[in-house]
Amino acid sequence: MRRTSLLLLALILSSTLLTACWDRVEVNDLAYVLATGFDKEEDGTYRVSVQVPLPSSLGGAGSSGGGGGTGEDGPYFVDSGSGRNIRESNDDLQARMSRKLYFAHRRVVIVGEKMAKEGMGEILNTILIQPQSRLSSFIIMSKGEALEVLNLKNRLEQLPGEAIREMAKTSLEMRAHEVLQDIKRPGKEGVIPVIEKSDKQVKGESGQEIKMQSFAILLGDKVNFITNEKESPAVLWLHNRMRGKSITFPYSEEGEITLRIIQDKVTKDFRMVNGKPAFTVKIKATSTLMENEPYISLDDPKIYKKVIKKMEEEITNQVEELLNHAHAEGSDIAGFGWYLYRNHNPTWDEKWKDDWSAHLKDLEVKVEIEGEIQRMTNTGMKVKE
Amino acid sequence: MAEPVNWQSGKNGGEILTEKISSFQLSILVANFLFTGVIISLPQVLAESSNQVSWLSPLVVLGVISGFLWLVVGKTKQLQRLSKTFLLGKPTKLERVFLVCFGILFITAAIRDLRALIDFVATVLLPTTPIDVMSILAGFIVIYMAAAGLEVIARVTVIQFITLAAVIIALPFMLMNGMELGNFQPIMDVDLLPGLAKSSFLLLSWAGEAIFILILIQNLDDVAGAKKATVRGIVVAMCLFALVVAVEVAVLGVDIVSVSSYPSLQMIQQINLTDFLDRLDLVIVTIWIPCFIAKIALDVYLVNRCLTSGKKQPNNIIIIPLGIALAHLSVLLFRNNTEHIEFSFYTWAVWGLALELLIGIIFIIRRKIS
Amino acid sequence: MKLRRNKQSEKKSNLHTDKTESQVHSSLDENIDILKELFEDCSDVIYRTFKVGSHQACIIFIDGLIDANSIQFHVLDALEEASRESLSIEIVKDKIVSIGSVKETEKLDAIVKDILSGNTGLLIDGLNEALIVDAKGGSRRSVAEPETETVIRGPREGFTESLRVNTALVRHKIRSNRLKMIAKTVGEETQTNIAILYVDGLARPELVKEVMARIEKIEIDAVLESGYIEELIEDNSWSLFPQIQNTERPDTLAANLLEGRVGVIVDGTPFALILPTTFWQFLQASEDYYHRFHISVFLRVIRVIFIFLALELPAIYIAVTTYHQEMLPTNLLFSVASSREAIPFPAFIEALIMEVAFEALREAGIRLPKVIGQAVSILGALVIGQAAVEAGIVSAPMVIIVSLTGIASFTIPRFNMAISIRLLRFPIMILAGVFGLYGIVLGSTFILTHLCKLRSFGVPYFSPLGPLNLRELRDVFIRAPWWALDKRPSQTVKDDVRRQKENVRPTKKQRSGLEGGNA
Repeated sequence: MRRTSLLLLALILSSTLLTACWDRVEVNDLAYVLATGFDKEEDGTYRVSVQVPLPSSLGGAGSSGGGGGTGEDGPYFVDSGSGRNIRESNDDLQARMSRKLYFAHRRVVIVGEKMAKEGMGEILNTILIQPQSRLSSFIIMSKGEALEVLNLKNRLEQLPGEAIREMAKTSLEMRAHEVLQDIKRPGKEGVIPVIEKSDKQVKGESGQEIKMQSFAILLGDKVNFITNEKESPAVLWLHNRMRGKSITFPYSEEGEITLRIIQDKVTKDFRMVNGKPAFTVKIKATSTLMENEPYISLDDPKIYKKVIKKMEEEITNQVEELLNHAHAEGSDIAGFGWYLYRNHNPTWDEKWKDDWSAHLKDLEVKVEIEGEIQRMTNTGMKVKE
Repeated sequence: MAEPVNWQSGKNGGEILTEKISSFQLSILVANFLFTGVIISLPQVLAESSNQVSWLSPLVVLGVISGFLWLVVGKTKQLQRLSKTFLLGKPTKLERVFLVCFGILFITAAIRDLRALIDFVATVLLPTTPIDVMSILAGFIVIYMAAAGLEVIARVTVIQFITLAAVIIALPFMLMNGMELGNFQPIMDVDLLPGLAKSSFLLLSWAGEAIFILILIQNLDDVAGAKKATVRGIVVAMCLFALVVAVEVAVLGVDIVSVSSYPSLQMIQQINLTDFLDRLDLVIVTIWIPCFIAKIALDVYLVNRCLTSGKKQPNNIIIIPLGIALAHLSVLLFRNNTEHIEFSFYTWAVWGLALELLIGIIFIIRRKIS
Repeated sequence: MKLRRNKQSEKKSNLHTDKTESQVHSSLDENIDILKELFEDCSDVIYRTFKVGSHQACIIFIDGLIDANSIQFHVLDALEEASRESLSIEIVKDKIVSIGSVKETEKLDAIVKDILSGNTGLLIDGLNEALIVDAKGGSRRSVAEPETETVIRGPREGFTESLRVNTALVRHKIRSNRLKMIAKTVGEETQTNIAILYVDGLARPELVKEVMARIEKIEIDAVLESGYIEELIEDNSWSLFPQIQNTERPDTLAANLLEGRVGVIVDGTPFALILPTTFWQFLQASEDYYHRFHISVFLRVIRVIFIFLALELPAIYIAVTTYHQEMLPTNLLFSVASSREAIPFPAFIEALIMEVAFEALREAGIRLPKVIGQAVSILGALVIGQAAVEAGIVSAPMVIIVSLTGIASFTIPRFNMAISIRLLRFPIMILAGVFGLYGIVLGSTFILTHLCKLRSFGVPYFSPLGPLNLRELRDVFIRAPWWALDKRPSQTVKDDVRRQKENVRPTKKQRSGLEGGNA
């Protein structure tokens, strides 16, 4: 018994060791894809661009660097390949690489504008099917081609992919599985952040940087429209992401007031009015005073009330504008339909399921803001009278 | 809690006593046996048929199977009497039929489980390694564990399962940020009842595997507590499974769960406790694999018990060829993992359940006769 | 005589020939002739003949094994003074020789045996009995601090090479008539004395019987160290894990005896055996029980973590860097990748080279004289740690991993367990190199199963974790305060379970008595 089992062990070990190591890949035989860009060409083919860091120039003990090979400038390079579908484009790319593309560390997926408008379903499906890629990668749309955005440098981070990720984290992080879920949910449309080129604003330097400010509102898996400057904060309001952000609004002719939001909470109230659904969006915003241009004294209850009112007006405007725009375009970004689906399922199936977009257009939505300034350290001093 | 001490002195011989396991160990064995098997890809089919209420089906099954086993095991006194005669000595005709059914059930279970393990490892850990090699390696460890006997399997299982259960219970906390409770709504819908019934039926035969305790009654330290211990095990397993399914649906949504072949893996990939602890999925997988191996080892041990029942030779004489044959069959019998998944979803639901019912009925008859 | 011996040795070992079985003759010369023949070419045997009155007498002893002073004072001088009296063996024994332990014998082979074990034989012409005087002496190392188990707090005395000193050290700790010490002799040639220690009523009688039976089965020519006995009586001799603990510390042995275990002290070595053992005992230092429990809890947790690291860390490094790169956080992966950029070896080979080099370095450090040993470690640290990294032969993370593994294996308090872990590291590394995490998991499961399967003298080796006993885990992963450790381990002690009175935790009441007095 013991001898046979020992023999068996020896046999297994030797056989495995001799043939061995099917999946072994050294760390330095892999090209780690940090960010991918997906574009659709004019002729309908796909273009996949990847951003790969160059470990030898990332710096680390023992890496002598040896000069050269540092891409154009930064410790990374961008390359792209094309093909009839995404995987084929990857293979095209791979054919020109000495290292194996490795997608498990991809944190950011950038979808080009054209592709986003034609539908992102295939991209999301590739992420879902391929075991290496993760459903937790961020989905971001780029204005223009994704490849161009990937090529832009960021001066704070060594790797632009990392920079994009950090920027998404501070605005709206939309992971692949969240986008997928939103697409599948009845009566709810997804939102993804938009990244765009912006000119550098330093004297004597020309060139472009990345900027993330607006959001793309989806309809199904297609981008429906992109928010403008005024609507963008409203997206964050609706997604409960305003914490830490500031709002600035005019108080009087004398100047503006800036408040930083420290807590925000969105609730939706539903009621039926004349057989039609009507919603109230209630947003509770708690803030601190950051800048006080008109030098008002908030100790005065009257002034305080006025400030709060101004603040509430500002937010209401933003949110209403976004909702009106989105509903006109047929995108239910606040998920009113989903609310009905979840809580009034039989009625939903009966009445609204099939033409919710049509209902949206004349959906009555009221926005109620409950503002509060919780803290002000100093109201500020008037320097000159 | 502790098992009795065996005073067997090494090589110096002395009679080897019957292996005994405590009620606690039996509970854990049952829980591990049920839980580690269903967790791999069964949530997929549950979500497919019963959508957002799929977490209910483990609880339904829990009730049905506990009742069934309560019925099969019967009165304590009868069982105590039975434990002194059942499957000891030359098997009677009825016992032979019992053994045949039992053997077939657990041979298929062992093959299915082994293949499930290998397919999972091949998908997640080693995509290009030939599966025969992996099955040999897994087979070797399973043989070693099965040959070590019931006591050892029980001890190993207890250690591993408690670790696994702790991790599972921690999952909702680790995934707190990603959970969307709206995914469970609408909470109840009449349309969902047939779906729930279907998913419960698919799960039934898996939970019914707890019937393996029947062959172990002579190894129980406390025969009187066997019934309770088994039910306790089923409760633990099914509650944990319900928790896993619920978290999966909450995090991923019904649609993703019902299309991914390893939804539990997808779920643990979403764990993100700060950027640094972002990749805990494989750590959790490495905790689950040993538990599953312990399950397969118990499978093989049960088959071995079946085949050698009533024989006078040392019990382990056939375990090596048996283990190798099972490992080999697991590779041969299924062409690809879809076929295997189809088998474990649909064929097993009928096949397993039929055999389990048969075994239960035979046992009841045998019990009545004594 | 089952031992195989070639003819020459059979000729020489004439200890058991007919002659010795003979009686002591009344003629002194005849006796001396026989003894001289037996001790042929034994230059250390001294025959000192002298006259007692009219009788010729002779003392025979082995130089260096006896206490020359007491022989001079109690035997030679005493006999000279008493030379007038008529001599019979009783008179010599009872009146003249004033030494603690004296016995008479008629057998020559008994005399030979006693002389060999350090006693002195006294033969007097005309008497057909001999006197054996116990005046053992000679130089042996004195009690000193044990070098392998040093403590910050705790007794500083360690066992020596002398059996009697060692048993006395234990008796100093346990002054109870329940502490039994059974004497035995093993080794055909060495005739090594051993003592089997146990506390009556705590150690299970079956266990003591089993230990005796296994020791009685030993038939070997020599027992030079307790390691001989360890290998001859352990349950599974193929297992890499030590199933018997050894210690140099009397306090450790005493503590174990009081938990119902059996100790074996072997003459000639300071290492006593403790059995049965569980895996966890090897992770415990005697000091754990002497410091206050907070730090002991912390240290034990650290040890459990580090024994895991010592076993798995290089393997995990290999698996993660060559199979599962997704497991590393992105930034960490990039720094590993950038430092591995110039390395010519695959990670597995690199790890193997470094681990073997480290083991060699350690071995060299132990064998060399202490002064040079330090030089070797400095050299090794410089060569491997610094130069190899700078030359781009070994990556910096690998050096970190190997040194961390090395440190981890030093945290295991018992050297013999550290050895098993060090050895097991290599198969796990190979498995990791071939199958990645899957290999590691299977390898670890194998080890876990093996640990759960092992028994040491009937006690499951992995208890109280496998089989699980939650109550007793308080003395495994942590060390509960003494007032909570009120029961002895159930695997070894069955009857007299309670170690202390119930509810012995110091309470507020006790304290307030004192404080009230002050007020």
